[in-house]
Order: sequence, then structure tokens, then C-alpha cells
Amino acid sequence: MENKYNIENFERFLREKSDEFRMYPSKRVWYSIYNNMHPGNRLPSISMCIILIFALLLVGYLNTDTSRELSSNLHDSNVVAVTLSNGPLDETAVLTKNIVGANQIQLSNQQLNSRVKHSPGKIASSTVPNRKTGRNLPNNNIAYTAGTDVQETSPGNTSRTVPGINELNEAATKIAIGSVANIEMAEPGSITTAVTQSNRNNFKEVDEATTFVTPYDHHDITAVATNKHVTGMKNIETALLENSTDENTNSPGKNKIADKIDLMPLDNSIKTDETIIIDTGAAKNKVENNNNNLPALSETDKAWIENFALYNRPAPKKWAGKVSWQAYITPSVVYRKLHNNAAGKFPGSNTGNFNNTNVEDVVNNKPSIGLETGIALQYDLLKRVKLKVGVQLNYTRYNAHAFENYHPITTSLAMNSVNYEAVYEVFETTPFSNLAGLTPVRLHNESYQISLPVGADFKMAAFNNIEWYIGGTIQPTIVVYGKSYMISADRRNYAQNKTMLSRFNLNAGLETYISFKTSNYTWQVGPQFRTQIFSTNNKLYSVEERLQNYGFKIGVSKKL
Amino acid sequence: MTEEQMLTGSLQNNAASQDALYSRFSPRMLGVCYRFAKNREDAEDMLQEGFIKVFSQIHQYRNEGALEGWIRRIIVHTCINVLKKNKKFSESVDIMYASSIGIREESIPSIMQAKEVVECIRLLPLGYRTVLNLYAIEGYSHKEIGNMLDIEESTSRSQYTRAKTMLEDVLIKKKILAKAREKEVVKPAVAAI
Repeated sequence: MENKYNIENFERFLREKSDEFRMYPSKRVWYSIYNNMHPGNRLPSISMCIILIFALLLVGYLNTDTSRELSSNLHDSNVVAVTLSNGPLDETAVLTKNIVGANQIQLSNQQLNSRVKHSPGKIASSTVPNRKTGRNLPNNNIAYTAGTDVQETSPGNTSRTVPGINELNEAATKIAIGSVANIEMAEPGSITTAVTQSNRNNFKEVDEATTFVTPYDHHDITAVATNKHVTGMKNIETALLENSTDENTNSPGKNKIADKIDLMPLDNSIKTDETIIIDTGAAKNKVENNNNNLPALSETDKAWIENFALYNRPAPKKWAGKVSWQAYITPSVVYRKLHNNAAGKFPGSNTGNFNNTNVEDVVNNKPSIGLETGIALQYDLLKRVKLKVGVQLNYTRYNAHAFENYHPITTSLAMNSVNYEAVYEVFETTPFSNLAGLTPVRLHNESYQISLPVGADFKMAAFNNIEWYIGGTIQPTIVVYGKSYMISADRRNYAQNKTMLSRFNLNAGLETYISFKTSNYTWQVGPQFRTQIFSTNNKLYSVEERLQNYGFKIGVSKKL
Repeated sequence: MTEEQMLTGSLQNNAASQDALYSRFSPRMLGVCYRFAKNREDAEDMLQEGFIKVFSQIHQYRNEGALEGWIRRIIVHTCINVLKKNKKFSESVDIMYASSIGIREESIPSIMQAKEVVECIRLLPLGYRTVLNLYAIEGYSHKEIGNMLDIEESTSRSQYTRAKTMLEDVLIKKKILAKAREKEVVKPAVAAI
């Protein structure tokens, strides 16, 4: 009776205490319930993803190099290079013309010491030439071509022949953008026709569309390719024409451009309102053979011509040669380092519930395998320095030798109080003993992690295709899944408590590798050391654990 | 919002009513789940699954008995189902008590007595803990427990006896039960233990 009463009281006591107990769930629970009950309203997260992706694409598009537009602006026979004269290199200038409208060509004038040739066809001036007008074109709005002698028509409708250049085998040409002048075309688009039809024989190879695309940033050229055909050019150096201050550039002598053609602006002072009419009718086919006077095209020049500045060829991205992607894998061996982190010395002797012995001395841990794999983006910041950022998946494991008993026992884990002033116990039940027991077992402590390595590589030496690098990374890490057996306060047992595992951590990596380049890829191999900076478990747990990985990294990369 | 309003709104799948109902009952139900679960994360998973069932089956509530009791039964069954996926309750476990727990009262952080009791319950092995929760706290009979856990009724009884004994031992050593019994003036029971 009394026993029944006691039992009933005990059960009532348990019920009362249990009913008093409250716990407040995290927001995650309600969100999960809500999404389950209202699946149609999940769109905000999907729509946010779409918005973010769209924003990224938009930013990428806006920051794309738009020089392709400029190249295409120079397309369709829009651009004609006008060479002015056949004089010595330092006495000529090159004009570039860019057709911007049906009836107008913008003529860019260079302050150059270079040979200048007329484009094929008549070039006439409707006004008294004043070559000091003009405005600057963008640097990449340069075009030139070889030409032949053209018939120049003056305002009085008298014409003269301006010699032109149309041969290959000329030295590389450097050209810079200068000022421009407006030029009126006699017939829209007729320059092209004139070039191809009337002067075709004067060119070594000329195609229908005499479109010339310009190099950027002053490249040496020997010819300009049009539809993969090459016409000749001359060396042109950027310089001011010394005597180009006089507006009347028709005066002979110093300015040979003036001698040849009235419309040639020679310096930066060309007025924008100056108009020059170009009569693109049939030109005299006077071929001037300059081969004997000009040096042969070098291989470098030919290569540049073939690869550069054709119409329809896209403009190169400035960063294309500097960014590469890398994929890698690193098998490794994982070691564990433990040390005491109790707020103070445990009370009592080491035979009681607390043991102050150094934890490394009483546990039997063995290293095990680990694996890291990931992808990274590398950016060549300097000649010898590369920055890298990536995403990496990690698997770590190490083994603790223990013993398993038939029945679980109660043990405790020593925890530090929040202010680190005292130590208290958290009780757990476990079948695993550290020192002695029924059946030996291996406890697998493992974790799956995602890291975001950020770091840099430094080139130490290079020899042909082989290079030696040293690198380092900092890796913020998220522990996606983990299993950790923790030593008890008395060092006699292992207990597992998932709430003790830290979700976030930080790792540091150090590596050195040899890279060697093949035709398309670059391979990297070398050792790597990776260490965990913070403890695997809750910082209040009285034992700190840090993992160290010793691995061998194999990677492959390719330039974008 | 009254219970009736919450019920009506939940029947219409109204989010605000569901939120109100969840907010009112989730703290206690999470406490129920916590007694069954290994850790807080598992308890929240059980709670989430349980409330999804509550809202899905709200139309089956017949106003017979308190709404909280109806929700509680669903939550308990959900907890059992989750545990059954991972553990077999048919195994009998022979238990030996820990020789010493070594409590230092002055080093234990200050916590409510209710939580201490719950934490002590959670110290029990899973099978004992589940039977103790179902019988002593939730009020199921051993027969019902046997059906739920796919064990024999006798197994349920023996496990409950052992669980109760182990729990008493822990509680007494924590002096909680002693304080409670002092209030009940049940001194012979203390002496017997």
C-alpha cells in the first residue's frame, strides 16, 4: 500500500515536473512547417535566386569589354586608311577615316612621322583645306590600309594624283590616334567599291570589303588584313609634325602631306567644321612599287596581322589570359591533437570523477584517412603572384581505440562555465570505455565539411614549362556532418554528444607544388599541410581538439 | 485568438491561425519531444513532423477532450515513430547503475528543477526512457505501450520498473526527490530508498 502510494506520488511528481518544463523551438521549425503546409508560397526564395542570378548576369554584361562594338563600327567598309604620300617615313602621316553616316566620314589625323597613302579613288576637298581641325577619336578607332595613288579633286575641280602605297613587304607600322576632321563623302559607301573595283590590281590581295580593323594600344603592324587578305602598310611613328602650325598646309617642303593632298590634317589642331569631300569614283591605277625601298615583313609582323583586328573578330577580354580555373584532390592522413582546457584544476584526486592527467597521455588515438577535393579560380595578380579562391569539400577521420561493454554506464563530460570560472559536469550514458572493457573497438571520429579557401601562390622558380610555387590559404569551414567521441571527465570513458560539435571552424593550409604545362592544361603536384585553428567541439568543453592533415595535392588548371 | 478561432482558421489552412496555434502549444510539445529525443535537434525534428501531422489531420478533431491533449497524443505517436525508425524496443536491456555520479552541487549552474528532472530522465537508456515517458508521464498502459513499441507487455513492465529505480537513484543523489518528498511528508519512502 505504502509502496503503491510512493509509486503514485513518484509518478505524479514526474508528471508535474514534466508539465512545467517548456522549451522554445527555433524559427527553423515553424518555417519548415509553413513551407510544408503552404508550398505555393515558397516562391520568394526561388524568385530571390532568380533575381540574384539575373543581377549577376547583368553586372557581368555591363562590365564586358565593349571594344567589340568599336570593331564592328569599323566593319562593313566603314574604315579606310588613307595614306598620304609616298615620301620618307618621317615625312608622312596616316589618316584614318571612319564612316559614321551616309554622307560623312570622320577623318582622324595623326601626328605621325609615317608614310601616308591615299585610299583608292578620288579624294577631293570642297573647301580650302585646313588640316588643323579635328577632334580626337578613341584610341582604338584606327584603321589603315594600303592604297594606291588617287585622284585628288580641289575645290576648283582640278584634280591631282596622289601617290599611294599598296604593297606588302613593309616594315611594321605604329600608329596612334590623333585628331579628326569631317569629311564628306561624295557617295555613301563608295569608298569600298572604289577600292575594290578600280584599284584591285594595285593591291596584292584585296577583297570586296575593304574593311580595316584597328589594333589597340599602338601595335606594330606590317599590314592590315581584310577578310584574311593582307595589304601592305608602312612603319609609322607617332610624333608631332614639327611644322604643322600653319593652317595653310598646302605649302610644300616641310610638310609633304601638304604636297600630296590638301585634306590631310597634320596636327591636333584640325577644326571640326572642316569638311573634305571624297570623290570615290574610279581612280587612276597608278601602282607604285615600293618593294625595293621597304624592308621585308618579319614573321612577328605577319603573325600579328593574321591574328589581329579583322572585322568580325571579337575584341579580346583583358582578363582572359590572367584567370584560370583549377580542380584538385588531396588525399591525406589526419592526426588529432588534444590538450586540457579546463577553467581550473579539477577538484579531488585523479581517482575520482575528475582526472587532471594530460589527456594526450591517457587516450589511444590513431590517425586515419582524409580527403579534400575542390575547384578554385586563380588570378595572376603579378608575374609571380597568383590569388586564388575556391570551394572545397573535406572529409576527416581519425580513430580512437576503446572497449565496448554489454551495458551502458553513466559518465560525465567536464564543461567550463560560461565565464570560465568553474567546471561542471554534463552526464551521458555510454557503452565505450577508454581503459578497459569487454571487447576492443575502434571509434571512428569523422566529419564532412565545406570550406572556402582564399589565398595566394608565389612562384619561387621557373624553368621552361616547369615552375615551383609556394602557397597558403585560409579556409572558413562549415561542418555539415560530424561524429565525435569525447573523453569523459575521469578519462575512463568515451561519450558522444552531437550538440558539442562546433558547426563553424577555420583552417589554414600551406602547400608547395611543382607545376608543368602541357598544351592545354597545367598540372600541379606537391605536399600540403592543413591545420584546424579552433577546437572541433564546443569551446566550453574542457578538452580542446585540433585536427591536422598531411596530404599530397594533385591539381589541374586551365586558362579561361 | 481563442482556440475556436484557431481551429476554424487552421481548418481553412489559414497561416495566421496555424501560427497562433503553433505558438501556443509548441513550447510544451517541444518539452514532450525533448524527453524522447537524444538532443534538441532531434526534438525539433519530431516537433516539426508532429505539427505537420496536426495541421494535416486537424479536420479529424472531434472536440472530444481538450485540444492540447489531442495534439499531445499526435506528438507522442510521432516521437515513437521516429524512434522506431532508429531503434528496436524489443531488445531487453539489463542495466547496472553507475557506481558513482560524483555531483558537485556548487559547480552545477543554476537551473529550474523541472529541467533537472527532465535532464535526469534523458540520462536513461533509450528503451527505459521511452517506457517511462509513456507510462508514468503520458499515461499509457503497458498493453498500449507494447502495441506501440512492438514489445511484450511484460517487457514494458520490467523496463519501467528498472527505469524508475534508476531514475529515483539519480534524482535522490541530486536531492531533488528528497526535497519533493519533504514537501509530501513521505519520510518512510526516503528511508526505504
